[in-house]
Amino acid sequence: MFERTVAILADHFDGDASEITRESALVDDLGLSSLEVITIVSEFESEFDIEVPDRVIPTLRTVGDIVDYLEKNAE
Amino acid sequence: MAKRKNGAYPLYDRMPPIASISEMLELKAKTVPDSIAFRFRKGRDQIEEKTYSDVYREVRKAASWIERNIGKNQHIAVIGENSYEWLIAFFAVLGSGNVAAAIDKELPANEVAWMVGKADVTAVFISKTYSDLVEGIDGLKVNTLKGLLSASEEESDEYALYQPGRDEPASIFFTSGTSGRSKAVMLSHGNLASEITDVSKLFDPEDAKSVLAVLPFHHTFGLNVAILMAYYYGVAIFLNKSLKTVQDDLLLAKPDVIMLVPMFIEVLYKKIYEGIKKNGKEKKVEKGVKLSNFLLKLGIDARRKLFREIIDVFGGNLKYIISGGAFLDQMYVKSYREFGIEILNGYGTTECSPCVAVNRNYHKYDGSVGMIVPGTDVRISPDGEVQVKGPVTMMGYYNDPEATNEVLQDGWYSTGDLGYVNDEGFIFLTGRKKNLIILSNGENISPEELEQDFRKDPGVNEVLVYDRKNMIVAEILPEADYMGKTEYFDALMEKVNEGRPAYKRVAKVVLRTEDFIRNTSKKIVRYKNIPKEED
Repeated sequence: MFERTVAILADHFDGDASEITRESALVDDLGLSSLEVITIVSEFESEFDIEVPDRVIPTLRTVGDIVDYLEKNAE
Repeated sequence: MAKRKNGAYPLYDRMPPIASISEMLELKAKTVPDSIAFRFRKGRDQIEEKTYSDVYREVRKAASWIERNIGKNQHIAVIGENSYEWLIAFFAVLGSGNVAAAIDKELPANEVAWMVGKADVTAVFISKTYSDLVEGIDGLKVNTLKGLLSASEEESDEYALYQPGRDEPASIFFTSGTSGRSKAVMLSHGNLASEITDVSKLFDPEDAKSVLAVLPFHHTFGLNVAILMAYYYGVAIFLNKSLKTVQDDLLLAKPDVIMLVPMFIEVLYKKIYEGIKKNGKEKKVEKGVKLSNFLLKLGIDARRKLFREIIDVFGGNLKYIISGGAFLDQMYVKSYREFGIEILNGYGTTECSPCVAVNRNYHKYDGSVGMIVPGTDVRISPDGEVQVKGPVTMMGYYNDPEATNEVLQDGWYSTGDLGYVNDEGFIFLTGRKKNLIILSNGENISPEELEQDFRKDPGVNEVLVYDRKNMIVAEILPEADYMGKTEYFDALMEKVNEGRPAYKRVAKVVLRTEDFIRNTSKKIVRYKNIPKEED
């Protein structure tokens, strides 16, 4: 799950994708804006065929948060 | 329409004036009953359409239910994600002789409770997803937005919507509070009607066939401009419910016009460039821009052909982005224009319903926030502050005469913005009065002026300029690749300082590693980010 998550995030990250860890913060470490996080979540939705409620998005602060959410909610 | 050169031309005056929202709903239902007013997603793949006559009927039924079950002259909050139901509830609250308070769904429950109390709200229509926000508020009648529509199905569609006087209160909007606690702005029915009719005189409706609404409805820009004005024009409005689907909705709605805040404009721009880079088309685009600029000089506009792929990202028809709500870097105006999309920058505040000025389709100035809305007066105070008087200026802050008197005197609203007006009635802003740095030698500096120059650099993600012990400091959040590069930013500081008088020079750069504190509209809250002097 971690690899699939990173593969999607890497498209939006200007730096070296190998630097992305579970602890990487989406805004502070990957340099994403809050609006970019929202659009990326929509990519996760299509990739994993799930629906992430809007209210959950602000709680996804790190790469690990996304991985945990997907592990819990995706097939 | 024939191509028009940039310059003065008469106001558009094609639509009958209206005195209230209810009158507008009736007017459209009578003149274009079967035209599409709203389109929105139902489930994942279905699109539902509502005509002007559907809207008028559903509002009358809902208003009838509200009057029978809640009453009149009440303050009723509307809370939820952007949706058709949200709009019907808002219209029905006004149409039943009540006042609507639009509250941000993203606020924590204690803030929502504070607003409910501040605005004397007795009932609320809230989307199910957010209903926990109002749990436990004493004496509040709670209904869901969907519940209102289903409960009012049996109501009479003959209900006569309340016809208010212009000076009667219509709605309460909360300011975003970048300078402290948010305030409850009371707008009258006349404020809303004037906002719609006066501002629409500046924009040619021929250029708008479809609008995509993405800004939140609890903001006056997202509701009064993006929804109400488009409705008055008779333009089909596609309602975007979640920001997650903006890109898909652009393809579905194929808008000619979108109202956006600068943050969207920046993110979409970044997205376009990511796409160009990914496909290795940087050189091709660069050449295309050069060719297109050359052709433009010859009077040939090939932009929409040359940059078809980029315009297709926006659905293929986008011609205008109307920007408001925050400072917009001119770099974006220029860059989007190169691709054939014109950004019309505007200016307003919640207290002015919100629009005070906007650039027109064919009469615009780069660097200006636009032409003053007809019917509104703007003057510059002796200390340089922009002041506004007219039918769009608010009634006042609800139940707060002290705060009202601070900003509203003899009908003149003091915006807190510094600027000037040119001889053609275009406003140019130079900064915020409260942000003005006044050094001990008496010199004044607008931090925004320096921030604008820093932001042009690719290494700068965000920047805040303030004074610290009589010394100007630029605090920078670098882009990911530039983190910690002190020498790079010292050199940038020298570049920004170049040619500036000594008192306007930045003395020190501080690099951040974490984002600035922002409010729910993603605006940087200046006072929360500037370190206290004793730190």
